[in-house]
Amino acid sequence: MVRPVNVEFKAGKARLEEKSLHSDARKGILKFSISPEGIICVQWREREKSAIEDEYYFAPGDLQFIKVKNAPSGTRMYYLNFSDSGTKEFFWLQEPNADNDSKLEEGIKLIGAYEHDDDEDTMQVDTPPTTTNTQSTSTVIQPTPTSTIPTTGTTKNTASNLSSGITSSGSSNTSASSSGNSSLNMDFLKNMISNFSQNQPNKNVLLSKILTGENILPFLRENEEIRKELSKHLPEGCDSQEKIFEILHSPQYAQALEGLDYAIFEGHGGEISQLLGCEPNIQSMRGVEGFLTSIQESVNKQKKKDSDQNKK
Amino acid sequence: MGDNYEGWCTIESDPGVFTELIQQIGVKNIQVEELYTLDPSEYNRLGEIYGLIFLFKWMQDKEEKVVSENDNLFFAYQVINNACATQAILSILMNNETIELGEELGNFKSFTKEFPPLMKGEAIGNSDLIRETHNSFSVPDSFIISKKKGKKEEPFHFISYIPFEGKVYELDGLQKGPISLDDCTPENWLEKVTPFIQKRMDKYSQGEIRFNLMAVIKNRSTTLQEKIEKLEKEKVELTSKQSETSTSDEEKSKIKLKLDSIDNEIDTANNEILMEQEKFRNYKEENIRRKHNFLPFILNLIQSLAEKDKLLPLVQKAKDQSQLKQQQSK
Repeated sequence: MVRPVNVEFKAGKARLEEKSLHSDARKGILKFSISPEGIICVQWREREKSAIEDEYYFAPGDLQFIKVKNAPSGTRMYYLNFSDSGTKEFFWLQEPNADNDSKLEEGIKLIGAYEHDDDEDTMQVDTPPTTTNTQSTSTVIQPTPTSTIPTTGTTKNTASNLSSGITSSGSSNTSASSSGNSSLNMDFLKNMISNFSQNQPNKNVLLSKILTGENILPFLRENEEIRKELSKHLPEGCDSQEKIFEILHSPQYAQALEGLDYAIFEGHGGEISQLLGCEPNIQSMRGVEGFLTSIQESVNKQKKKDSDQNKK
Repeated sequence: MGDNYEGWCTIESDPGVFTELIQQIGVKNIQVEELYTLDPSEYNRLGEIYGLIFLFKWMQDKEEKVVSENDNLFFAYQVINNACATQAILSILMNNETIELGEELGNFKSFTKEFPPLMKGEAIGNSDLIRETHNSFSVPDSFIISKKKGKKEEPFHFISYIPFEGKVYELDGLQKGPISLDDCTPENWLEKVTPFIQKRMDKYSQGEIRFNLMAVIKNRSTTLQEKIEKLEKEKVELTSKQSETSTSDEEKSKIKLKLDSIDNEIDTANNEILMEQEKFRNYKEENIRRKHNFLPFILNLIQSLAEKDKLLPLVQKAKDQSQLKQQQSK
């Protein structure tokens, strides 16, 4: 089965609040992709920033990206449906041209329908859609993260649409959400709310949020031996509390954590935990939480083994 | 792109990186500063500006520009994508007679003088000095798995602007040759180039394309030191005039005022030198961190946390925090 190309387009977030949808005015990018292991990954970030703000994972066949049927004219809304928790994550399209929506939907459908084949060459992740059938598709479904070329129409149009905060394919009904958190009342949502759950999937468990200076410095202060040991892995002359503080708050350290987060979400958790002498298991492939849990379990096992031996 | 040009890493576009890179190539007394506006006061702040670099996320631009040949000018085609920042810097350094290139780069310049642009570009690609210096600033890709596999680097493109033999030039390694924008003098070239850069900025901000402007300038500490020396000289002259018997009291008090203001200026310049030194210290530390591979530290840290049973509580904390944040935003 040929791996479908990534689908990425301009979209903002929206959230459900007291029976109405509130749109987040920030300009964003929503990206659908498939990891080398066949996991479907949906990411949202602000257009001007590279940091991913939200990330959701779906097993093959579980992806549900559904169009909101009764959205007010001029807005196009979709939601990710998490069938097990009943949670929904809402998005509003910021692509200027609604005519291309169907192509986006098709691209997402392809990703949702994709079945992973273990023999497949993982390098295909990057393969750009060189053989797309129609010209317009090739610009909608983008292989690179941040192309800003509009699907159709002129650049000028896009720019003016964007500056007003919403892109609504030339319809005159742009006022509805052009002013930040406008509240869109939607009757059709009433039935949804009954099974709306507070539970969110764990998308915020990231090394870059766990191994922060704030969390780690107290630990290193309490355990001087560990601090000394760890500072061997830092640039020379960085063993003082002060230097370590500086490093843990530096963008370079943050970048390294983000790189590792990324590698783990790409499914390399197993290989990384092997570096620590842990046996790779399925769990270590399941995001950062799974990765860390499996390391803790492996350390616990080792501890138990050691203490058993001591008893003997 | 031929096999010969592989092995050029991407480096971060940062004034600290570029400043140290230039030093390491052997060029003296140069630093790179970021420009935030195209205001004359911003130019003045930086002292002597040898050239400007405009960098932006590359996009296809069909516009073919009229090129103007000038055999004296160092112009190279961009053969290696990852080297484009270094190439943009080189095209400024190589085209200014007042800059001390140092032995190796000086040799490179005379060696490539007669080369056509394509060969100049290839020569950059083949220069061990340039490549090795450039690569020493790459961020270590420590993860056995190349994380770049899925994470494509955004292609940035760099264009240089320089004054050369009475003209302002735009040097873009993707164009057929140097582009002469306007006539200029060494004094007014920045004024002349500003509208052209402004035009580009307007174009890219409309298209939401990220861009950045940097200036290759004379080392600030040197500039400030020279200024202080000049002021000290003036001070000596004024002081001796002040002590002359022929000087009237009225003149003497005028001189005193003048001397006070000179002292003030010297103080300010000295403070600025201290700030520059601090900045260079920071650059150095940042570059050390940039080149450092944090993976062993992070992995050992995770293990230590696990051994002390602190790992999962921190995971829980991150979960709680995210939940709290979500509730707050509701």
